[in-house]
Amino acid sequence: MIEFRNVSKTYDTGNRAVRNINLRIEDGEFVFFTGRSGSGKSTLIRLITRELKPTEGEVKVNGWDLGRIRQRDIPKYRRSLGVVFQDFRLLNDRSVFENIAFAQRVIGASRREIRENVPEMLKLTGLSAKYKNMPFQLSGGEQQRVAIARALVNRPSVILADEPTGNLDEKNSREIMNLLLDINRMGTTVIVITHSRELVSSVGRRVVVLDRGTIVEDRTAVAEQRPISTFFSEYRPKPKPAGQPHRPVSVEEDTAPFDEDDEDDWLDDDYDDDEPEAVEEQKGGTGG
Amino acid sequence: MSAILYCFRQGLSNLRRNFLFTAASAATIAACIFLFCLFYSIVMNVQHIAYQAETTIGITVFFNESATMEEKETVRREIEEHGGVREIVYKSADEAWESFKNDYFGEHAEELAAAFADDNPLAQSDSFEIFLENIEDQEDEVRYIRSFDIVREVNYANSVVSALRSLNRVIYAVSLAIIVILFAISVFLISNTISLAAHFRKRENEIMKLIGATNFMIRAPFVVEGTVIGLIGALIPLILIRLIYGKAEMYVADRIQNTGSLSALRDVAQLLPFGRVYPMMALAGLVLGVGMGFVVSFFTIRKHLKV
Ligand SMILES: Nc1ncnc2c1ncn2[C@@H]1O[C@H](COP(=O)(O)OP(=O)(O)OP(=O)(O)O)[C@@H](O)[C@H]1O
Ligand SMILES: [Mg+2]
Repeated sequence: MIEFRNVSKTYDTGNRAVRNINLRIEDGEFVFFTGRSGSGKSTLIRLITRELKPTEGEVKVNGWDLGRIRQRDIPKYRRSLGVVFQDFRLLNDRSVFENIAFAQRVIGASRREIRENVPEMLKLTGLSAKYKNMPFQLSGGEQQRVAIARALVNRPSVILADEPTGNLDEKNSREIMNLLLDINRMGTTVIVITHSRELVSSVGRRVVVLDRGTIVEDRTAVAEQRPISTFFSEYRPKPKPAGQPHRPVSVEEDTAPFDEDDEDDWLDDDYDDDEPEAVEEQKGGTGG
Repeated sequence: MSAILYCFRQGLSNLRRNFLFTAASAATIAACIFLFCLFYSIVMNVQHIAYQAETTIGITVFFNESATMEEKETVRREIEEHGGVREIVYKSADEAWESFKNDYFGEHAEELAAAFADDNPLAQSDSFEIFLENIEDQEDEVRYIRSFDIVREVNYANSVVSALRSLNRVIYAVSLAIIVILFAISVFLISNTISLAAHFRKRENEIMKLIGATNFMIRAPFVVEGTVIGLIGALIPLILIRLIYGKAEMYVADRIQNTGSLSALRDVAQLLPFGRVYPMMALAGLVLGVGMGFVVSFFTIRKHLKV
């Protein structure tokens, strides 16, 4: 559960970015934050990540009181979050693969897990062919997808996505949104910041509208019509559900074993990152 | 385990990125440790030579011309009873002349000595050669021996040794000063190298923190970097010294052989064998280099990456 109680944040500049916010988000909810530029959306997210401390009030997430959390518990707390930053915040000196793998290293994942999970995320976000690229060798949309893959790879219990589709074309946006919805359906709390009215209305979930730092509207969800997308099968949430989810093609099967020291051997160019669906039709990769 | 491996690799990649600074720091540490080794070898050897001089040369006691053999025997007994003496050797005038000839005339001993024929120039030079159990007691012993009436003269390694000792003190002080200065420069350079690396990686480090990296994961690569700089800085001079020392050993041995001078000097003026100087020195150098790299980078990065 995420809870804001009378929260205000005044930046060093004296700018009161959010004022007197009261907000409660239950576990497993899907919430849009929307509102004009500068209305305080990112500030709310940064309060949840504990990048910022509230000037007044309380922020509580999953039992942690972020105003009182001990310094040494912060890393532990942050590992339960998956964050897509508005400005991506990729590690500029590391490849796409390493950027995603880093989130795994942080939680102490083994090499084997990294080799399994990272390619899966690359595939899910349509980046399989670019895993070796450095961030500056990617388009804006591709960088954004790396940021998304990094946020998802640890299967966090809360996902905070600040404009995750801001740089994506319509098709990619829809895919990413579907992915987030699928993840939410598996029990993950998802908060998405967006300016897109269309997106908000088409998805039909709870919407929190901000204006000049205050909540001016909090619309509850309407029933969802959308069918479960194919991505559902490939994103296995951390606490595995009882039954094995339906999986047309397992990632391990069509991916050659990945060796960090030998990254070149890992992928062939036969993953088409523009058409993730095509992957499923593929026969097993040739691998290395 | 994989995290440690990761930090290690990250540290090495920092090194590559920061090549110039890394090289400069490693070079200063290398200079520092090289000088340390050099001075250490010198000080150890001078000390060794001084010690050898004292123990092999011994105290030589000459007597008044009038002294009888009995009187000399009494003195000998009293010195022995006084204690602290390892050995007392009586050297007759003839023996003294023999060894003098050998020492100073070398190969040509017989020809040159022929000039003196049967006339021993050292006729009055029968003596006691006294070796002490503990060389530190030498001054006291000499004072004691001088108190006998029949003793004309006491020679001992005092002047040579005290000259060596004071030379050693000077070397010691000078080297200490130079090493301390170099040490300070090394600390400064490592610290700067690490600061620079941290500065370049400021953004990266902040992102890591936001993703949930612990301080350990963020700092460890920098400490690895500093430690490796220290290690490189230590290994270079240790390898160099290894090469140089063997050469020096041979050179000194050669010179002494060629001068063909006093046999006593030949015993005394030899470099300590490499095996006796090097292990301690290598250990000290390694500890110095690696320790400095580790400690300095540890504290530098702690200061830099305050949460
Ligand atoms: N680091 C900062 N220091 C001072 N003021 C800031 C800082 N970050 C944001 N602000 C100000 O706080 C207010 C809210 O900013 P915030 O980034 O939360 O807006 P936003 O709703 O995310 O806008 P956008 O849709 O453009 O991303 C703005 O007026 C902004 O200028
Ligand atoms: Mg924003």
